[in-house]
Amino acid sequence: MDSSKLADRLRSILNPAGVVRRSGQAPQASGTDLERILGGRWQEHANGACFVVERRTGPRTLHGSAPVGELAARLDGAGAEAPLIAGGAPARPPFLFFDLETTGLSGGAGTYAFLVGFGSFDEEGGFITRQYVLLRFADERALLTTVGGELERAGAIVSFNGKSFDAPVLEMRYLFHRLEWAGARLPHVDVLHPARRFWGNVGVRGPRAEHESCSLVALGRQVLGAGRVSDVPGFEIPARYFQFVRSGDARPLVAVLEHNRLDLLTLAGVTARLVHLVRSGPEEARDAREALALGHLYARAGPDDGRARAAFSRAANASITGSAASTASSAASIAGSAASIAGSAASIAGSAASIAAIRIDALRALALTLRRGRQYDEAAGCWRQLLDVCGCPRHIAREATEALAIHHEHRARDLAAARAFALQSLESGAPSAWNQAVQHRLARIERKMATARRPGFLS
Amino acid sequence: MIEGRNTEAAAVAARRGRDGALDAALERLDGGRASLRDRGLHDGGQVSSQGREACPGSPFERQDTPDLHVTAVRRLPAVAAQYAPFPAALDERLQRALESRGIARLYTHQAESIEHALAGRNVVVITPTASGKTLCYNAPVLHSILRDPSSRALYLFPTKALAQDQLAELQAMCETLAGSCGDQIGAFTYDGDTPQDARRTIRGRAHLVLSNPDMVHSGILPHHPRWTKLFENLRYVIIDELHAYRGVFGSHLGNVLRRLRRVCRHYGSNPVFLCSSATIANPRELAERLTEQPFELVDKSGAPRGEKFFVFVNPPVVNHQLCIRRSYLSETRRIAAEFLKRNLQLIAFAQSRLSTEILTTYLKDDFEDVPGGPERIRGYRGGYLPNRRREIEKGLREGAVRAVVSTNALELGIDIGALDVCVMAGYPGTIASTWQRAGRAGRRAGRSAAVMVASSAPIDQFVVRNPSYFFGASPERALVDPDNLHILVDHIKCAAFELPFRATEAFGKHDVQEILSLLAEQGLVCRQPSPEAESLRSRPRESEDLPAHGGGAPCEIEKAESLRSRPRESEDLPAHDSLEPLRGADAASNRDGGGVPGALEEGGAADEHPSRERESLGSSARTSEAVPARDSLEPLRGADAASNGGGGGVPAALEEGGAADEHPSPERESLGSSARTSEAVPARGGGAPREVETWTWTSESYPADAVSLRSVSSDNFVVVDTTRETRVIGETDFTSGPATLHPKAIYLVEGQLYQVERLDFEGRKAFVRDIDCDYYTDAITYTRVTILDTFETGEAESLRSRPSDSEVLAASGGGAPRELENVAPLASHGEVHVVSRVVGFKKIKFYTNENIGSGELDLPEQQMHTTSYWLTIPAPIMASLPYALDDRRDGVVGLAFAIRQVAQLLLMCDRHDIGISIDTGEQAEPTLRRASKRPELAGDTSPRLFIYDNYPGGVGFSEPLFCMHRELLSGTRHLIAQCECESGCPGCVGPVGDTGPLAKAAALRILDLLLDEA
Repeated sequence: MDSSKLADRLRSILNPAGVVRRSGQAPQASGTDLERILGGRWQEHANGACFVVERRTGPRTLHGSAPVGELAARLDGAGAEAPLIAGGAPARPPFLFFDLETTGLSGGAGTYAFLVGFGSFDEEGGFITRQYVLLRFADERALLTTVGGELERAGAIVSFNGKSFDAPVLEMRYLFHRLEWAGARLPHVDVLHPARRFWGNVGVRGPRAEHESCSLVALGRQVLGAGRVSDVPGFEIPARYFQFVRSGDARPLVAVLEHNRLDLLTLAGVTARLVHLVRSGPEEARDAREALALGHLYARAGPDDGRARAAFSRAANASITGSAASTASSAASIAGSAASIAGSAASIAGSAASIAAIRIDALRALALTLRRGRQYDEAAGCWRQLLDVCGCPRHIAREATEALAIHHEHRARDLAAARAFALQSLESGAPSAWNQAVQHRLARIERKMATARRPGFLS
Repeated sequence: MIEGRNTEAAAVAARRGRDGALDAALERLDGGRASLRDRGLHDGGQVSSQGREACPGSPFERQDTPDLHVTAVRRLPAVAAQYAPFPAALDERLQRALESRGIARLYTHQAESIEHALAGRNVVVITPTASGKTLCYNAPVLHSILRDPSSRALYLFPTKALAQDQLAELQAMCETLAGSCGDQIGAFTYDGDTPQDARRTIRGRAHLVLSNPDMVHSGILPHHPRWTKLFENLRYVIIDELHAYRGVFGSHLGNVLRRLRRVCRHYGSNPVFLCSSATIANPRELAERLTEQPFELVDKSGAPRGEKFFVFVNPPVVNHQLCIRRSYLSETRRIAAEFLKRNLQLIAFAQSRLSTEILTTYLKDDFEDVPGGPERIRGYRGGYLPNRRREIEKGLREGAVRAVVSTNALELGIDIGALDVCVMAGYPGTIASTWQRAGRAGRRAGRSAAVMVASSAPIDQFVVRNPSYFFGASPERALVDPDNLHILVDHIKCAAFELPFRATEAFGKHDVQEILSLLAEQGLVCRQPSPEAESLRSRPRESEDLPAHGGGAPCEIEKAESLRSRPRESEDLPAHDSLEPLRGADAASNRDGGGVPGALEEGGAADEHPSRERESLGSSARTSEAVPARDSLEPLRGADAASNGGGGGVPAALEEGGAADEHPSPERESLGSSARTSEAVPARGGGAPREVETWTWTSESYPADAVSLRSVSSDNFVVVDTTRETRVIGETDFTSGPATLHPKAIYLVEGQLYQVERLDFEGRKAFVRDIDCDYYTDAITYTRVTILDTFETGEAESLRSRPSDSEVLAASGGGAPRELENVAPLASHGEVHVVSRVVGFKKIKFYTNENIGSGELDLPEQQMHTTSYWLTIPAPIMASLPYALDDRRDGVVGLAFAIRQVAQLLLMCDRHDIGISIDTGEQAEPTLRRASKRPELAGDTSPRLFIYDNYPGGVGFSEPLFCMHRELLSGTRHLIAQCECESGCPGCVGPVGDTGPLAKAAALRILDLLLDEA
């Protein structure tokens, strides 16, 4: 088959519409252009060159409502709490914030990390970002070697969804080049999960963090009050890179670098806020949700030293008086953004329901914590309050009535109340195993009541 | 028989009892009207009623009687075991472990394949069911691990169930070995069912990875950096059930293996391929096309086999005019009962899940009168839970289950022990599959039987009435076309995702660089300087050398090859680097011809060295041995490149390439020629890149996800059942969507019938509802075929020769090789453009194939480029027919109806794999197939019959069909001439009402004339 014919057939297979989109040959951009446009420089290495863009944000520059220096100070003061948000990993300063920009989200040997961004605070409280950019695929090995050197200096790496995405992607690149992935040895703080607990599913959609940067953007706006102007949406980033690869024109990358830099700064700010909250305790919590999340964090960290109870109790109280206060707080957080009136009305209506959910969660957690601490009467009080919250889901109501039945049968010795709660927890929708257990309990309570009555008759 | 004397008297008695019972049942197969044996005696004349005892060595044969109830009885004599000692090279520990498991010596075919494997030669084994083929590949694999614990092996099975089935045996073997030598050998399955958290462990610990092509394609290759250990140390790749990889699936596998070998090269390994296959006509050719490697064929089984009878039964005609026969399921029930009531253990194969269930119910009614008693009759099909399946398999092995009724689920190598009888309800569709199923019955000693009960489908009728076609011919050839552009392009995307393509790399027979340029136009890849080129820049002296080589691609190949190793020098990859010099030698042969004859010779010599030294290198030098084998194809490519570059040294290069290529087996024409035709590295002339460059994947997508190995294009229609809740019950590829999913179409899923209520063409969805009816639908499609390029016409045929693997058949019925015949110029094959539109449909009654209604449809047109075989009926032949124009035309239509059936039979393909179209010979006149409106036929035209591959790009049916042209015509004539109907029926030229009263006569006349002409 001669080649022009092959080409014709291929075109009909690949592109039935017959539109030629772009040329495949990469033009060579001159090195100085890149340095000028991106504001970076080449670092020469034994096995190639690596392009790095370095920036410093001064301590007095505001990121949202707080100056960068304050973020640094908070992180500095509360850094010891990092293991709490790292799920127990021995995370210690210096913290190295990192965030990748990749050519795709699916992973695998053909997904490249074309930008490895690192951020850290310096002595003066300034924030330094170093972004390693893959300008030629041939330089990847050199880039990875340099990045490995950067990791050497870190006490822990901090990322947003990095455990499921950034670290595996980068690890794959190291494996591809048969280099050792230094990140495996470092404690890794993935801020995504605590952030979700503290601030809800802000901007996070889909099973993978498809909009991860987008959600960092939303977090920055809501938690730090840092809005962004003309930010590149995450989904556009690979296309911009491919555009650069094909044209050699680095200008589309400028905004990508800026996006990555802001992501790193937001990541640092959010982390600072988290460790600061953990250190300062529930008094610092801005609303019920933060207090609740804080309680869970303390509760998971180990035996309660009172901090968890205090946090849950604050969350429960904050969500009674709730409606007004929290509406105000969410309105405040929305005020920073240019949300439309309709939008904020909807979000306030939504937040009323979520306030109830927070209260339910807080009361339940508090009840369990109290019971574990053998404060049975207080725990029973919480279960009772729980039953009063309107919209309490059935399974939680069942749990509450069961707990109350047990409490009254075994601790308060009020068999009539125990029987009433047991009856209450007997309902048609419950699983049959559940109802069987309750019937069993009821029968026992009634036996006990019968034996209790008999001596009463006699005496 | 000989062995029997050594066994205990009781066993002999039991066997005698079984043999007697089998004989008695066989006597009753035609309902007791005539004794088969008596008839055999009369017709054959030499066989006593005591059969083989009286006449040792002479087969118990009777003449075929196509018109009777039992059309054929064949006897396959018993064969004694042939043993061989363990190959000396086989590890002592392994020999001891095998002995402890009761294997003190090997069958000859096991010894032979193990020897090939240990010597690093690729081998394909074809042996009957239950002949111990797994040992053929497990032994070399375990040997390699005992010698070097870092060794790895990858097993590919066509289904997950087969992998599970083999895992148990492998793990038991590994444990025995661990007990004797202390080495833990890890064997794991790795497929879609493997839990995520187990995957990392398996990647690290598995010596043996049992997987399937789909998983390798989408789960392993795209993540190869995580499988470094496997790919660095991959010694063997085992492909079980090789025959399963034909058509589209095989064409995909060919490309998956190209990718696998490419990744292996990257990691410096070069695995040996060990394949096992059921009996097909071309196992070696198939293995070589799939792997692009030379193969040894081991086809002489040393396993013992008992005597077997093979019987064809055609249910009697109950309505002569419409040619309606008794239901084949009832007939199967009756026959199975004859065996079951004599307490013989039986497997029955049915064609669908539905008929499996029906037959199971029948047999349970007949034989399971005690409710709650042990279940002696079981069904078995896909959809049963694994536990139930294991329980049935165990019951069969232990004898508690007396009969199992199965779909093709038990056709592949799941271990169910040896049964007495196999009854097939309906012809399984292919010769290979029929033998495979028949092989499920058969003990190593003692008698067994296989009975095929024909349904009224045309193919069944042809086979049952022409037993010698089945017993005499070799089984089908398995055809693949890994260079189908649609399939190839998809895999090039996957390959580019896995590793950047070098600008000098080849992949298949098409010009991959050209394909990459087009992918670059789509923005999927981008060409950039490779790291090698970067290091080149820093070595100015070398880059100065560049112009000295003169223009063209060849010198770049050299650079690519010799520079490839450079950046790795700093790494600790001695194995890989030590290989490079040899590759360099390859490259040398690519040097511009005229000035460097010495280099050419050198290249050739270096390439030869592998084959010569292979033996002497032995298994200890596996890694260096690896190179030669891997590169044995390269010289040819190089030679091509050289010839493209022009110059005096070309013939020498070709010769050397040829010599290297010849090596292990002399009959490798097929591979040689395929490599020769490949223009892997054509000269890129003045536009050739001046630097070493690579194509890097520049897309967000994960290309493997978009490619399903079981179809050509990923565009498909999904079938949504809306009966109760909305759920997807199936999918159909885009090409056959309109014909199978048009509104009111009956859609079948494993015997369950659904009717299409709505077809959402744009959304590619068909909404169906389940329905109870006794008909299916057949779409009426207008098809217009335009010839784009004629590859070959009949004249060239006399030169064509075809390597024959017909010895294979000796084991399964003594087949004669296909004859090589001259083909008249009326046959051609080439590339065509097919435009088709579904315009209506017919309702066809099940079993009788009666036409019971029709409907009209208006659906969008579909277009495709594909390959086709076509038959031109010369105008003089048409003119000489003693019929009116209309009747001549009917004859052509009837001929088309019949030829399609025979083509399907010869090609070993499914009904939807091929399409047929009639061209009346007039320009731009739309023609139709099987339509009520008939093509106009002028008096002096040469009508054409196209049989095209019903897949975009074609999957390789057309050329073989072209080669089998004469068989196709004579087979079609047989089918029509032997049919009992008066003037056409669904079993030959189509129902009378559809085809016209004289269609049968006219079609026969045309075929007579064509065959005379040829």
